[in-house]
Formats: sequence, C-alpha cells, structure tokens
Amino acid sequence: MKRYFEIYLKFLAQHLKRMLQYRSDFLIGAGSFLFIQASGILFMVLIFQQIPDLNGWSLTEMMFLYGYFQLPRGIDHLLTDNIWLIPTKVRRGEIDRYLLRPINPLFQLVIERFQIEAFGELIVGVALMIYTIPLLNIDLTVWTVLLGLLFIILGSLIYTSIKLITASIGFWVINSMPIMTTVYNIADFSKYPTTIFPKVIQYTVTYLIPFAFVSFLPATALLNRSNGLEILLGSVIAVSVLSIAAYRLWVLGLKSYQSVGS
Amino acid sequence: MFQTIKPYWAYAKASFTVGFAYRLHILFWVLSDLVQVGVLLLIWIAIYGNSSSTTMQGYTLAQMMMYNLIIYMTASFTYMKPLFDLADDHFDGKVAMSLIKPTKYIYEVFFRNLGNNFVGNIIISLPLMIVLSTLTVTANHGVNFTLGTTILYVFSILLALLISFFSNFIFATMVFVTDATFGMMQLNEAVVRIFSGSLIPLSFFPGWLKTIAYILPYASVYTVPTLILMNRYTNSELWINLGIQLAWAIGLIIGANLIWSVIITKMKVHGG
Repeated sequence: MKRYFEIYLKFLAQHLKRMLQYRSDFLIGAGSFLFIQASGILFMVLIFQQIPDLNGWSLTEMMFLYGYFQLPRGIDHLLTDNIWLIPTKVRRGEIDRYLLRPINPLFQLVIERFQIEAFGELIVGVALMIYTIPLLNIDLTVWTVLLGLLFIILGSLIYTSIKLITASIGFWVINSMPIMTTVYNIADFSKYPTTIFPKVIQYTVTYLIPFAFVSFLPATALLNRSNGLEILLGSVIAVSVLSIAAYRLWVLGLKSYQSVGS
Repeated sequence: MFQTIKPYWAYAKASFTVGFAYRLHILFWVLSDLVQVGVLLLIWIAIYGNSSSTTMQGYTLAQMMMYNLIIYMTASFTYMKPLFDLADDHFDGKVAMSLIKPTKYIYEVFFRNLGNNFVGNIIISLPLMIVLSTLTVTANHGVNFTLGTTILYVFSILLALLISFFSNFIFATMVFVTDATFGMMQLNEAVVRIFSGSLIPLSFFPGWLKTIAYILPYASVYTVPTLILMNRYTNSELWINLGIQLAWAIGLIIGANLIWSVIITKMKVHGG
C-alpha cells in the first residue's frame, strides 16, 4: 500500500512538471471547460426568465444541483481519465506492458494520466456551491458537510465504475468508445432534477445506470427534500455492486486479452 | 475553373472513402448524439409544462422541438472540423509536404473536410431531412416545409458550409501558436454552442448577448438556415440575412487566406 502511494506521488510530480511546461495548453483547456459550463448555466438563467420554477425547483436550487453535479464528475475526470483509452489500447495491443510489471494493472493504467483540465469543472462546481449555499436553506452542520463530501466520493466512484464497465466491453468488441460516450451522456439527465423527465428515464437513471445517485438524489438530501440516510444507503449499495462488477469485468477482460503482433 | 478544382476532388474522394468505411462507427456516434438531443427535448417539454403561456419568444412547444431538430440537422449539414487536420499536420510536420504540392493547403483541407461532410450527409443529415419533412407534412407542428423554403435552405446551407469551414480554419490556425489541440477544440465548440443558436434560440438572449452573437459568424451558420427552413423571416429579413451570409463567406475566405499566408512564413517544421 505504501509502495503504491509512493509510486503515485512520483507520477504526480511528473505530471505537474509537464503541466508547467505546457502552461498554455493547460490554461486554454481549463478555460474552455469553464466556457462549456458557462453555456449550461446561461441556458438555465435564460429559461428562468420565462418560468418561475421547474417542477418546484427554483433557479438557485437548479444552480446548486448543476454545481454539485460538476464535483464528482470533475474528480473522476481528474484522476481516472485514462480509462477512456482502454478500447484503443486493447486494439493496438498496448495492454501488454501493464501485465509485465509487478503492480496492479488498473492502477498503472489510471496513474498514467492526470487530467488537469478537470479543474475547470471543479472550479465551476465549487464556485456555484459558494454562491448558492448561503442563498438556500441548507444548515451547515457537521453532518450535512460530511454527508455532502461522502456523496461526492461515492458519486465519483459511480462514474469511474460505469466508465470501467463500458471501457472493458472493448476487450470483446472492436471499439467500445461510442458505447462509452453514449452511456456517459446519459449522466446529463442528472444535471437536472430527474423528476422532470418521464418515469422510464427516472427508473433508468436510478436503478439501471444509477447516475441519479451522483448528483440529483444527494442534492435532494442536502436540500432537505428527502431522507439523507436512505439515499446514502442506496448510494452505498449502488457503488458496491457497480465497482465489484466493473473490476470483475476488467479482470475477465484481461484474461481474454490477446495481444497483437509486433 | 473546372480544371483548377479537379485535382482537389481527389482529396474529397479519399476522405469520403475512409469516412464511409467507418459508417457503422458514425451510426454509434449518432446514437450518443440522440441521447443529448433527447435530454434537450424532454427538458423543453418540462419547461413548457411549467409556463403559464403556450408560447415563448414566439415558439410553441412543437415549434421549439422542431427548431432543436432542424438546428441539429443544420449543424451536421455544415459540419467542418479543420482543427483536426491542422493539429495532425502540425504535430506530424506534414504541412511541409503540403507546401511543395502544386495544390494550395487551405483548399486541400477544405476538400478533405468536404469528403467527410458528405459521409455525414448521407448517414445523418439527409435521412433526418426526410423524417422531418414527413413530420411536417403529416401533422401540423406549426412548421411547414415548402418547395420555396427548402430551395432557399439548400442555398443558405451552401453559404453556411463555407462560413463554417473558413471561420473554423481561422480558429484552428491558433493551434500553431498555442500548441493546445484539446483545449482549442473544446473552446471552439463551446463558443459555437453558445453563439450559434444551438443552445437556445437567439431571441431568448438579452440585447448585449444578442449583439455579440450577431457580431460573430456562427449565427450565419446555424440560425439563419434553420429560421429560413422554418419560414420565420419576412421577405426583407430573408434577403438581408442571405446577404450577410454571402458577405461572411467572402470575407472569411479572404481573411483565412491572408492569415494563412502570414503563418506559413513564420512556421517552423521539425522533421516530417
């Protein structure tokens, strides 16, 4: 465990050095993420010029939800973005070298990349939190803060697990990238209160591809619209099932992995 | 004229062949787009459900949904992404090779993109056009495609295609200065999304934001063809907007050529 930690720090130091070298790429990358987020916020602001609330959600609450959505997404983005490359690496036979070293292959793969552009998402998320929380009736007790942080960690685990599952399909099909993107886009439903969507979609994002546990359901808990403990329990169950399934599938994929020539 | 264009068709044909070989791949990308469009349509249904009036900024719910579908179709008809080509050629040092060819680099990239664009037209845009036309004919969605609007739409799309390519080309040349491919790509997409009208109809914008949108060329790529097909312009507005499109197309072609001629004198190519 200590060894893994040391290796991680070494990699992190390398990434930071590289970031300092390609400063403009980092700044433009993070800036562009800010811009993309701004478009989502702009959409909500313009919409609320036309309507007083959206199925009982005010603009401030919507912005809180939108900001909260960015946090687990940003963390997952920052730390495990290299999972996106699994389908490509399988196709090109580049998984070999992870199998040759005496360290967990998934760990090696994940630490290869540190997606610093994700700070764009994290900055927007934190800024929206700071802006909306004083305006909303959220009592900042130790319990709510702890609950909020816990949900963020669980939420990023949900993201990572779903990403790993869809990426691991790449061991059996030629290119699972479009599947990954399609499933990843479904997370967009969780940017808004899922209750505004038809029942089919509500069930899908709660039980089948549980993106609702990433931001919508935790947000209802933090806004005192639902029972925090129930949501926490559901989230823990979802994370356990998904992460075990994801890791199993990845290991299974590694077993069936055959390299390519040269 | 024909003789000068002829050699460039080879580029278009080549990229068309490559693109068409991956048609299944493109279909999957359409699937992921569908999720996004679907989310948007469902949000609009919810939004109109919460409104006391049946129209917003002159759009009924049915018209708003048509607007979103048509602007998605317009986006795929005018899809031109020279940034990929420029970044690839820049980092591989291939620009040097293009400079010794008797064809001009800027038009080489244009025709490469055109080939790809045709693949998208066959797989996405044209089928969507047929579906939407059927929809407007069979039921009243507050939008009627007539022969006249369709012809004007095609004409407007051709101009939009030029504006789309040359404005994105100018944007893409910044890759040579910043070396930031991923960042520039995201930034380009974000700016286009906000100011083209694909996020929300520009009539929802407050005045100052609308002004910015009309100073930039992106409204001419997305909003103008879309509103022409939806028959939302009066006669004079129609000709003014087509005129603006034409001015943009000519201005951007000249601008892109000027910028490019400056860049090739400054560019350093390593290896290749």
